[in-house]
Amino acid sequence: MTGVAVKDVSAGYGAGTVLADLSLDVGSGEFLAVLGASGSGKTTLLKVIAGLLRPQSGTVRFGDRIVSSPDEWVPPERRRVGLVPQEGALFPHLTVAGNVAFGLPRGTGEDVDRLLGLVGMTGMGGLRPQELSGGQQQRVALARALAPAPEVICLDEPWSALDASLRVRLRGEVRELLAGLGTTAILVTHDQEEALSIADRVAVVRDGRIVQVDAPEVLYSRPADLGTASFVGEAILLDARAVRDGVVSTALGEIHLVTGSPQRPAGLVLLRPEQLAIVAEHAVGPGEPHGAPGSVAARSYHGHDSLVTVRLDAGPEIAVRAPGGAGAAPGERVRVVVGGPGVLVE
Amino acid sequence: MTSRLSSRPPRALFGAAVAAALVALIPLVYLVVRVADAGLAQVLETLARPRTVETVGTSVALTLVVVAACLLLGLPTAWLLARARVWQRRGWLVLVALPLAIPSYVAAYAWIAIFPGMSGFWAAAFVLTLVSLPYVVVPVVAALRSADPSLEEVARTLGRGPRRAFVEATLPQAWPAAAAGSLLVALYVLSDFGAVSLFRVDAFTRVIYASYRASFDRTTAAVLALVLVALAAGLVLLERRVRGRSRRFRTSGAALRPAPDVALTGRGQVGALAWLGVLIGLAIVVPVASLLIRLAEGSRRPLDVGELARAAANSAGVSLIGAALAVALAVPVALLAARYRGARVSAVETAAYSGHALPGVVVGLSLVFLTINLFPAAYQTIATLAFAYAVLFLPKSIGATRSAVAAVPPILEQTARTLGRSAFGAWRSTTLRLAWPGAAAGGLLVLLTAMKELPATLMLRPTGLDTLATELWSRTEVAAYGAAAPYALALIALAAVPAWLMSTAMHRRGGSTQRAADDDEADAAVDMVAP
Repeated sequence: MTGVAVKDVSAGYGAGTVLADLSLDVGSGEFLAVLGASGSGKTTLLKVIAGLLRPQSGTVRFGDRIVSSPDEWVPPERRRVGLVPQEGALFPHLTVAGNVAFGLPRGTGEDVDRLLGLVGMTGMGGLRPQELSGGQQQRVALARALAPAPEVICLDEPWSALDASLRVRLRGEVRELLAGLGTTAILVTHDQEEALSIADRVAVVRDGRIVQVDAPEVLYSRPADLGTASFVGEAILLDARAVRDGVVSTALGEIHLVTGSPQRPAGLVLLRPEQLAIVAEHAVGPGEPHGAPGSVAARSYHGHDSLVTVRLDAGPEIAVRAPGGAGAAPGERVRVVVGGPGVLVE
Repeated sequence: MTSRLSSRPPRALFGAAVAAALVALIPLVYLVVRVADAGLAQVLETLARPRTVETVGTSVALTLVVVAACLLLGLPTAWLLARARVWQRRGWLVLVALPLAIPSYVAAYAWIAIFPGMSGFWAAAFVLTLVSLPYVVVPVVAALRSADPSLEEVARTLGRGPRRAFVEATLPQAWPAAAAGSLLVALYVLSDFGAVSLFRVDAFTRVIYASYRASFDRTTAAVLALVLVALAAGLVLLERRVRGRSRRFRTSGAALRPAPDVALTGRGQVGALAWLGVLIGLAIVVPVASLLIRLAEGSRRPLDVGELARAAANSAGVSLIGAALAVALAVPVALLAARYRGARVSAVETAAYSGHALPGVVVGLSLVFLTINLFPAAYQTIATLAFAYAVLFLPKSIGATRSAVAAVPPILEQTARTLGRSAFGAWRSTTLRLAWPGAAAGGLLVLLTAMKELPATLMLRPTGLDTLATELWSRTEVAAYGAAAPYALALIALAAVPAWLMSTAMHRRGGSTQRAADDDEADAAVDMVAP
């Protein structure tokens, strides 16, 4: 089992630099997602790890083995790294079995069958890539990458072309399969939901640098900065003023801060829409200091929930996710109630 | 996006397309009738003659040699231009397409003007290889450049070194392009009249022309012509199939990014430049220099500018009539093919494309028979010659028009209907309005190509009507090299236009992501320059 250690790597194409002194550790057998917008450098990072791009400086290790440094360079064919590119990139001139067998020594037919079984494609070896659906092509691409039993597997936005429900199903299957094999996996994606749902840890990349590496829950609830906060999910940001230790005052009233949240006299506090709830004003007893009063400005209905925009009496507008058909009609008087702590961000 | 409608084509459109296709079939049908008239016994006797067998053998051998040479020279050239960081690559890309601009008889004449002793099979193979090399190089460059680089990357991670990754992952993507290009080369060689005649190689076209001139033996000419057509038709059908297959080869519209270029070492750079320099030197520089030298030397008879201008005007005039007729025939076929599918539609389209498989010498021969036997008044008239041009180059016109029509989404026409236009009014204000420049470009292409057509012109022109091609021909026949040079240079200038069009169309395709439209465009590019 092999982890991957990237240290102080700068890389780019021609004279340009895409990655700047980037460092990242991936544990052995870990499933790490690299999350970034397009142009952030996440695919470049994947290429450096796979050996498809030689960095300008810095080192890359697989376990104890240096695979890239200023003096040493292991080409991709000797790294034992698997690659699942965007949309699969199956060899169109080979059959499904031919694709899977590409990285295997000759005459290993049973292995091909076993690998196809592993990805749920038993008996499809004779088909051509053009005859497969997008999801099936991805399955074959995974089997092909796993065939030579790589130590590390790199997944480059493999499901971006698939429809939403198929995407969810495939990533669950892949997660399970790779966990069973114990292969170290690095998934590059721009889809925060995908990164949060599949990975043990998520590394957020911006402008060629790692902004934060954390477990999904930590990343979501305690993002390192404002950019990350809004990149990994819908963010509600409120001006806050410290009133006492661990408590700030906002337009929604007093809010407790996450334990260990940095203490500052003033700043922005981050809440997630699901932390808020709306209660009809008439349901609250008169004079009760429960929630922040306001009136509904707009509502958009999404089936499983509605996004209700409330104009607070204290000034700002705020978006609240209301489950089910919860119908607060525009104009209605409501209270906005906060559940759970917030975090100060900058 | 679909540019095709599944419904049945309107009866009037289908009828017009069928009529156009039938007109295009006239030379082929009459040739068959003529051969059938001779009777089976005589046909078999002609086929069995040693001379016939020898002719088939010579033509097939010449074709195979040239195709092999084009692949051998073309594939490394294509790799250099597609994947290596060659100095001034864009410039080389334009240069390698240019030999298409040199008609084979002009190239042959230019070489003979330097080496008057050049003659025979290998001389013809040499010159035909130089002029038809772009048919392999240009599409293979495009295929290599549009191949998904992820394939090679995956191959690397699966244990292949850089060279094997290219051979096993990328090269297979270029095979269909190479195969289709080779078939075009074969078609070019098989139908070539000029080079084999000037080098005195007894290939089909030369033997057919000779038998026709010796007017007592016209059945032999007809039988040989039919064999030639059968071979050419086989090549055309194969080429279409291979081109179609190359399309199915693509799995998905993966985000198109170019493969990284290979940096060349100093020695590699020098070698690459030497390789390209020698190819271009032999294909373009030597012939053009030879013509310019001959032009500077002059001839015993000074250049008669009036005569040159008259020949150019004659070429342009007859070709213009031919081009107008070709566009008129092409429009219904192209509309049908761009908008509707089905067995009947492809039958009509295939029939209209028969010109692809008809070498000029065959169309000339058939129309000579037809006019002499059925319409003596039309024998060797401008009308017959223009008709021959229209049939021969109809595929170019259809190709250009079809891709122009296919680029217009039918929803525009349907929207115009909902805004109150009649069926015809909607068509006129949308499809016609947007597609006519493409159709006109196709017509221009026919015009330019017809101006250099040699054998059909020799056989069908009215007595006394001299064109650029026939003037060049008559001067080279009497070894008046200096006097022929201005005509040869004028022909090269004319032919440069379609070659340039093809090279830009191919480049646009290389960088674009709109594949469906591109396929039509690439098809049109191939139709433009197909021999």
